[in-house]
Amino acid sequence: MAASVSSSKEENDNNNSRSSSSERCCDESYSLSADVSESESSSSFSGRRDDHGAASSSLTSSPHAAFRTVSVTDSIFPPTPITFPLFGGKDDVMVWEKKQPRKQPDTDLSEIDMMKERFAKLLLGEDMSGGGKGVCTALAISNAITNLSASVFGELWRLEPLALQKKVMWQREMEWLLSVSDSIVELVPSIQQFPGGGTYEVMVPHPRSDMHMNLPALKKLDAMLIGMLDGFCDREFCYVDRGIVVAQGDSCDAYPSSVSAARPSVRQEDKWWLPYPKVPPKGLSEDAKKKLQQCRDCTNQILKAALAINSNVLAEMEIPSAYLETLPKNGKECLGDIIYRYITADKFSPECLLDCLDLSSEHHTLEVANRVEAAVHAWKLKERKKQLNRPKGKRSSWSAKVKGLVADCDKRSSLAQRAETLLRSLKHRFPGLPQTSLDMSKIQYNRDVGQSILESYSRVMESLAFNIMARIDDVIFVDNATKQSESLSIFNRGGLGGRPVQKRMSPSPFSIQHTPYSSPFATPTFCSSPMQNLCPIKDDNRLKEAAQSCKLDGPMLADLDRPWTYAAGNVPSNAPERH
Amino acid sequence: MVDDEEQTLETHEDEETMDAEQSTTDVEQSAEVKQEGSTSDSDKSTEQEKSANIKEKLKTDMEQMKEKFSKLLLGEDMSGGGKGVSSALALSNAITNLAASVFGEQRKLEPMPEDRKMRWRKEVRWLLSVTDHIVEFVPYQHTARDGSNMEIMITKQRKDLLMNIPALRKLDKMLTDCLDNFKDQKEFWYVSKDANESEKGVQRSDKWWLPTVKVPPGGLSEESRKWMQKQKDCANQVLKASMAINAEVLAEMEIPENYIEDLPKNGRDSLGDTIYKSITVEFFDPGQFLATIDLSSEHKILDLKNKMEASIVIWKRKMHQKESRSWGSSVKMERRELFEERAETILILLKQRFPGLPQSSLDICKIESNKDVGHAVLESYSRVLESLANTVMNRIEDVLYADELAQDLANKSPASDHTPCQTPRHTPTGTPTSTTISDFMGWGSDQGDS
Repeated sequence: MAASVSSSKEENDNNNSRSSSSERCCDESYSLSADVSESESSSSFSGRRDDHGAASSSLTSSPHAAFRTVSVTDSIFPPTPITFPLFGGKDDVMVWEKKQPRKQPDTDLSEIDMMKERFAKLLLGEDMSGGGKGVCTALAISNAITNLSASVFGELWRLEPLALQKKVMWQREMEWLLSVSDSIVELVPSIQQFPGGGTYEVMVPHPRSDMHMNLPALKKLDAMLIGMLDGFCDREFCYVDRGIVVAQGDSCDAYPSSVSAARPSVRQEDKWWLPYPKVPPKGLSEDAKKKLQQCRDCTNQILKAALAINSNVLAEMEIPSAYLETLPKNGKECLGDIIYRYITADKFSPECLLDCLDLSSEHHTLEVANRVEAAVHAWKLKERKKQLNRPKGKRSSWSAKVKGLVADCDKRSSLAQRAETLLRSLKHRFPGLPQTSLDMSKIQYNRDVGQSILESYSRVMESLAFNIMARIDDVIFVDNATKQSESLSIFNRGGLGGRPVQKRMSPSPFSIQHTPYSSPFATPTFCSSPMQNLCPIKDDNRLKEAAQSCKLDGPMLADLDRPWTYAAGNVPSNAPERH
Repeated sequence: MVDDEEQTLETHEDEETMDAEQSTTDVEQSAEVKQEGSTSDSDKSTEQEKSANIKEKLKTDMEQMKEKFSKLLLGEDMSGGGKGVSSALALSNAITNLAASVFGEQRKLEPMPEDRKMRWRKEVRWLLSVTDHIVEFVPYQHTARDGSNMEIMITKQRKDLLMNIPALRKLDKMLTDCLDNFKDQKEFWYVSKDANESEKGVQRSDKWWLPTVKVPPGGLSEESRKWMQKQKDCANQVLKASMAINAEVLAEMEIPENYIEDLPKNGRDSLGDTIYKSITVEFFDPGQFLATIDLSSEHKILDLKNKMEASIVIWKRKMHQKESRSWGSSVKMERRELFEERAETILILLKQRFPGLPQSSLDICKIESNKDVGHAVLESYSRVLESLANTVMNRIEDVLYADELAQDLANKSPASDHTPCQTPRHTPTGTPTSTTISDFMGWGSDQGDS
């Protein structure tokens, strides 16, 4: 715990901390010289080598990384025999401030090397043979951002502050990747004053307007999410590993295998590897609950903002010709008979159509979205082609052919419009739908570096917000369940063979964690579930939230219908037998 | 902490440039800091200042590096629209431009100013660092703990880079060292070209923009004349080595499609009637052939080279097509093969006689359409070194020329008319020593193999 040592030192000579820190600087550089190149290694320093190794490669995971007070750089401080933890008595802010100046030296050469490596790989476009067969810069950056976020946030299993190494890594590498955007400029006219009076117009470089608008916003969202995670340092709930939960048996084995049959969508699959949130026996305190709810609302806003930016950028990207080439000849082929019939009917209501379709799983829904989108573009493409050809047609024959053509065109454009409305309401109904094939194709073929940065950054922010929200929902769910089981146990103690009531509550307590939109609390249907009847919701917040989500995601009802039917119909009777 | 960085920098530099002796300022600085840090803790304030400076420098370095790489990534299209050039060309241009801005001002035989030298080292290191990550799979005999052998594939830097990048770095170092050597020479000096006629030094005819060289009356001392000759040999070696690498890399690059598309239909169209006739005569003598052609200006030589290269490509393609199609007209085939060989001989002769010739249109086309990042770096780095070596050679020639004139004047020899007509390129001095440099750099044998 070198950190503790350093802070103790810091306290000792508080008055001349600057000079002392510099002293430490040279001390330690001395020790490092032994470590790096020179032969003057002294025995007292030899033990530091490992620490230094860990510090220079910020990726190595360290067991004490969870402490906020242990910084990467801290661990380089020269060892002293005494190690007693002192940071417990220090307040966080202070330590953080102290760490800031020390973060500076962290811009050391290993960092420069890492940066070089990162940029080199981007330049090679992931083709490490150097043969120039790699991807273009736009895609390389997009992939780099995606991969970075996966390695930093990929294991967001708990609501807890991000490990410092990960945080540093994320901030540093994002800074590198985003630095490309600093060089993206457009020329805008600007009026300059002559010194002697009079004006002239010159073109000055200015950050591209889309970057100028969206990038700061995304950075802000990023900081908010990280800050929110940091806020979970003193939480009332904790996490228990799955294995432990099962072993503990009665107390909370709400979660055994039973649930896979009821999964409402791919995303809601039972993620067995997630640890199980555990709240105090009486549930969370009112304050904690409120705070959690606030976080959830905030995350929801962030999610929406990121979604909005992402879909804007995607909409602005050109439709790749590769996508257009793979489109079927006509809209009918794209849609399939059923949808085609609906869409070509005299009366058309997108909502009705959506109600009839099988949107039970994300997979199906995505399939429908892809088809409808393909149809929209197939029709538009045809129309455009016809328009190009029309002058020729006019010259050759003015007759009924043209009339037919015009009628055809009108029909096609109205169909395209209908399909577009359908797509819009589909997207409205499933805001968390994964990328459609058009989106993916756009990302793949996009050559605009600016757009690729915005798209990937907003996409990873979206998914981070989504995950945080899911984790919050887990906790809220378990909290509610705990409260209910408590009140239940008053009435029903032993009534159900002493089994924990939780078991019967829902097909999968964790099925909700991956999609906030289908949280059981968010749907009125679920509110009428037996469990809710048994235990009326206590706080208004929950109701409000339920109502709010309802407004938001009302259409999810259809999606939830099936699992719910299952839950309502079978669970109360079946559940006890299942275990 | 700061010192630590400098330490790493030092080792880093050691690794990277394989410098035997470190002379860069920051490393010197670091040595000082280290010394102070280890000997006395008394002078803390200055030390702090220094460390702050170094920190600041590192930070600005990082910023510069980011900017540089960002521009490379955007491929010089600052709109970000992805309409820029490929990474390979962006890197190649970056190296070319860097060299132009750093070496462009090298008009005298004197050490490069420290700031420019630092900039060159730093930025070249950044640009070359890309090649550290270009790898290929190579089989590797892995011995397991139980002694069993297993062949596995490991990644290793691509062979051409592994061989040539260290060599080029060495050449780079040799050149800057060579310039540094002129720090203490006192036997010649430069006078501005605008100086009075009386003070003005000597200048070889055409370089009106350069300052003039002045040597003591009676010329250089015997000792320093020898020393100058030595420096010239050194520069010449660098020139030859970098030229060899450059030519090798260019030869390895594919002939771009658009070059082929722009070619004339046949060899006769490309060469023109006269040349075509003289190259297709029964008995061909390359020396005589060149003697008949007007090679009075660089432009004309380059034109001939372009024509020869074009016809070689045409003939080779035709032979190839014929081979795959039919066995007919083998006489024609043989004739093409013969002509193609003759053209290649002429190219070689041209290269020998005019080593400093600018790039041919085929070369330019190759560089522009090249997509291979490794080739791009090798080609541009060797090219800029070649040109710097050439500059150094020429500046030395200037001095030697002035020396010879002064000697002649001193001797008052009437036969001054056949003194310095020897052009630098024909000096045979480099040849006997050229093996040493290859041995020195350890790739002489490889070169021979390939």
